Amino acid sequence: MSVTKQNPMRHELIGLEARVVNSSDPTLVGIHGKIVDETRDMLVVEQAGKDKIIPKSSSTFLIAMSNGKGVTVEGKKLIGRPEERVRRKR
Amino acid sequence: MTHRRTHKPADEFKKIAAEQMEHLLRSAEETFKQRPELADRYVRLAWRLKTRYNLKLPLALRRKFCRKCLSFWKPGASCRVRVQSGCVIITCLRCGRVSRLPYKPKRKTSKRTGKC
Repeated sequence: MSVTKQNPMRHELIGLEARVVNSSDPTLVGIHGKIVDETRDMLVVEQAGKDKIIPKSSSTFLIAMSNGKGVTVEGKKLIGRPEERVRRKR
Repeated sequence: MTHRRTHKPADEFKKIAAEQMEHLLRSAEETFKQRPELADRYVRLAWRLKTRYNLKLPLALRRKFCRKCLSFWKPGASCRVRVQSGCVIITCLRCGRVSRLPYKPKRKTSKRTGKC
């Protein structure tokens, strides 16, 4: 099963390319790069050799899936430990 | 007629979790050269998936990390691999744990010498 548009959030985010489309903190908007780590409330994005830690709760992400399509996801839907999200339905 | 389910939902979770676990261990291997601490983090995340969903590690991934300190194993860099008296001996260079993996199915002389 590959990462598809129907079930993007039940799959592994680490390794995918992401861009912060919207955030309540204007300095975070526009950050893009590879997702290198994930915790319950934060995503770590590597941009130009530096790690940027972005809160999920107040941001919207554009995530590039493996099939080349981009999916916009509200960060609020991503909140939760990565291993527990497997079980959740969307 | 009784209704028979074709597959349980738990199987589906397991499948997804197994896929994620393998993906994480593969990315640990890729990132180890640049950022070894990140590879250890990926191993830890994969281990959490494994324990939560009661998964089995594929044979190819069993010797990829330390079971005690969950650090990624790269022979020569983070672990030492030696072959001695019928065992592959892997020493984790981070925590010092020694794992002995016998590779001989029959042990004829072991009773006498007492070695593995």
